[in-house]
Amino acid sequence: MPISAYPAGVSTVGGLPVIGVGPVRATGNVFFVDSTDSRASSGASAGDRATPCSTVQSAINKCVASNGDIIFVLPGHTEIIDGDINLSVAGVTVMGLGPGGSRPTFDFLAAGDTITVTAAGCRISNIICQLDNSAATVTAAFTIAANGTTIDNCRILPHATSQFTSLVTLGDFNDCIIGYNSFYSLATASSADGIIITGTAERAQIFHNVVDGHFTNHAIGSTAAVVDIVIANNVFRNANTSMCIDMDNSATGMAANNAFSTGAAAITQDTGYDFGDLLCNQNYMVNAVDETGGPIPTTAAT
Amino acid sequence: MIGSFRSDLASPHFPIPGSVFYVSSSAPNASDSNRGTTPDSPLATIVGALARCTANKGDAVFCLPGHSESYSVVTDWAVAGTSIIGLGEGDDTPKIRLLVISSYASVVSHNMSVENIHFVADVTNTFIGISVGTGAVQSNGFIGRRLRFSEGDGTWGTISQFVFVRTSNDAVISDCSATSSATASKAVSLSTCDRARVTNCNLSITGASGGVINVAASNQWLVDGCIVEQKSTAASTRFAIAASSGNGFIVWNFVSTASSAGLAQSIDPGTGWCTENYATDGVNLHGVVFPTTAST
Repeated sequence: MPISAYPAGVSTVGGLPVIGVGPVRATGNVFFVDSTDSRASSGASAGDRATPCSTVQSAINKCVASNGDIIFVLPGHTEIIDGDINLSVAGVTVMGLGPGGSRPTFDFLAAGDTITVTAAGCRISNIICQLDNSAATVTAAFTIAANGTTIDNCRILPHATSQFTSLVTLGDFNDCIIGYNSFYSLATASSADGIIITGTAERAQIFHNVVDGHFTNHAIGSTAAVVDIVIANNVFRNANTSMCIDMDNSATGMAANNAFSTGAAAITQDTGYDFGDLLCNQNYMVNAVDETGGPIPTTAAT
Repeated sequence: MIGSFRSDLASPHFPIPGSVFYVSSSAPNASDSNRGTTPDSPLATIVGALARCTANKGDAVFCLPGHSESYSVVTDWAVAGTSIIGLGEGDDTPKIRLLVISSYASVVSHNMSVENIHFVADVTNTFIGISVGTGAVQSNGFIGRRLRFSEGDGTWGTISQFVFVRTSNDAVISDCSATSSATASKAVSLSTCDRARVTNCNLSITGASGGVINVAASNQWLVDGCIVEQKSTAASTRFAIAASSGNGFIVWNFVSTASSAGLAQSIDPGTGWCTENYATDGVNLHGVVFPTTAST
């Protein structure tokens, strides 16, 4: 889909105006999802602007694998996830549109509900995951189960009294990117993890995120020996007394320029942090008010 | 490697899914009676354009380069989910000129976005540039990006707040700048705003109370990447960044204070936490990490 002219220097992609070239590189089909449109349906609709799909899953089912297809999810779209959304077609981008809270919103109802990525090279961008309609504790908002997944500019919000157990789970899949997101759990009641990597994922990049909550385990961590991970320019805040970052002892890569906080009484290895075998530069951790974060690991290279 | 991804994913300009309306005060045929769907026949005012927008459809108002309009009363911007975007750089950045002390733009709907607008104080003791929520009215999900606040024919007043967010959650104030030669109050003031973020702003004022960036009664807020100059020489309650109750994080900021009390007036984190903030209080001095006590 080429970028075309639009008045006053504004371009269009898929018929939608953007400033500059925007964040989209559409080459394939463009589909639309809008629950607020009375013409929307999940079955026979074309998925075009005039007859949008009513659910993201119905749009995914129309996509062609490895074709650069894009699904635009329109502002105000709300979708109850009672089961899973499975991004199961390779190379598809699901992009929410609209500013702030008008971005499309996905409400999770039950413990096992999640947005799963099971096909390679997919991207989920600019959506909100929340527990607005349910006080259930839900296992994970995003479950990454495919190589080359990108999750960016998304937001995760808890219910007033419940939250996701883990905000994002990444399995044994390579070359995934988690960037520019804001993930929250409750400030005073515990969920387990912010971002948790459960497999030996290679070359993951986690940057420019805010992860803020009260985590029993950690705000970011791995239970497997990830390879060549980059964790950079993030703010991780754990109001609980557990570690803020806890990587597997054999995890490799680099952690650079991150700000951590923990409620742990001491900022020491295995108490406040554990970087595994990652190399570290300019990471700081604080654990009390009226203090400043000190460099971690606490021992300087010589 | 990181930089290459930053340029791609950091772009805030997602496609605009709704209708687009153009505003230009400099076009001879500009009128709020126009349809405003092309720059050749623009609307005259932002409010005129907002009147044509549909809530929560992702509509956008493009203010063309050189656009300028003046406010003499509190002017509501009240179409949820709408973006107001200034086009043009430098002197061509669209302007809102504030002619009366209590005249300002008032965002009173959820999820509005305002970008690249220059607010100019044209009366002595100007009160507010842009207000988000009223206390009684919530305006959650506000985004203010690349907003500029300066003095024109007037000055900001001692009770002024250039950006004033009240009882409205999930606000983002980013890449904004503010200057004031006269004593102003606060540049960015957040009150009861959970999960608010002030990031990458450049603010230089003579503050009259609290902080140049001031956070009150909010939780899970974040102030990061800002350059903040507090020019007040007062010995107390004039901070570059100040917070009160609630939990939050102050990270990666560079601040200065002119207070006679020195660095103690640079950051008051309240019950918030701090990491890698540098503060200085004089020329020919290098800044130091503040607070000065390191966590252990």
